Amino acid sequence: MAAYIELKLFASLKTYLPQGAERFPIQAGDTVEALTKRLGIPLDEVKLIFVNGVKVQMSSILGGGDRVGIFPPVGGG
Amino acid sequence: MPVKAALSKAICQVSTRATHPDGTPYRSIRMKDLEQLCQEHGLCGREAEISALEAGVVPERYARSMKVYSLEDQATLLRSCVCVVGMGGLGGTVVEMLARLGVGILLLVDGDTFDESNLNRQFLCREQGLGKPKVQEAARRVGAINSSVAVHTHQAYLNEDNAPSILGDSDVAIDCLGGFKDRFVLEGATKKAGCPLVSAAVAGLSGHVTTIFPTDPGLQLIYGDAQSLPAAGAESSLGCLPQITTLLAALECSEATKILLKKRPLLRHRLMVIDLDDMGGEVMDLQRD
Repeated sequence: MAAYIELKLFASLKTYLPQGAERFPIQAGDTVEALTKRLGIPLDEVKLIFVNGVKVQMSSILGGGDRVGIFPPVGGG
Repeated sequence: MPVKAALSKAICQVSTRATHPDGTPYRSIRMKDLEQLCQEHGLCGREAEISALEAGVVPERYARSMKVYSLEDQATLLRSCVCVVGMGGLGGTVVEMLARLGVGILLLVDGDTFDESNLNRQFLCREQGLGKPKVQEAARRVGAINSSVAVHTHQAYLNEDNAPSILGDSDVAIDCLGGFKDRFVLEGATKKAGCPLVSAAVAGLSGHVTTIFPTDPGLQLIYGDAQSLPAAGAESSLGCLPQITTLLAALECSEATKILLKKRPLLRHRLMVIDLDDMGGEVMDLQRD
């Protein structure tokens, strides 16, 4: 059965936001890194990843229903 | 009569009866009467205000704060010292709020001067002030809105050498810097000084804010290794807008006042992320429990 995540990209990463991000399909065993590659986000533009409100690593495995948020480095004042 | 008792008596004599909008009575003292007391008793503004609060009298300028803060809280704020590093979009708003809240001693740090491109978001930047040092304009603004506050300016960029003397005995430091490198310098100095730090950063209409105590992992949880970072982040391509800088500055002040008043800050080990594009905001855990 297909699994979906709710995807949110912040700041400069919004340009990579796919159609239907609020219900974005993932494949079994997908990691955050696999997801970012599929979205075409350069790895050096990824700084913070949150899944269900908790910071995780690139190697974290995603599951259906996860809320995923990705931040680039942000330093403006 | 001891000096303190004489001062307290003088304060009570010039204080007047007043009521809050909900009808609660309080004793009030006006600025002109406090100024007179300062002259007669050789006090500075914040000392006179602290004396009034200790005598149970509210300096009228803080009257609308007193339903949230007790007299003791307000006196604590007036005794507190906050170091604000960076007088840009975040810093200008932070300084404005701290001065209005009556945080008694402000250490203001920035080596920069105002430029036209600052006008879109930096509240301290005005057309007549272009080219002037940011800290000078900040001190001018504080003096105009709350002359009781003691301001110490440092027209310098923070570095490892000057940070300890600039921070001094600050009760809280607020990171209002741009870029990454200097944030780590500030964090290192606050850790050495045992001083809590509140830190925010923005890009476009997004941003985040956190609170770091000296023993906490801190910025590395947000940015990773300092050496791995570019010179600037997403703000270099998106710019910065006043809606987000002002909102995050307010959150920084909220955390800072909680720390000053010994209340539990809400963003320790956590990061509040905000995106005004979709009005989304969420508090994230930076560490798993």
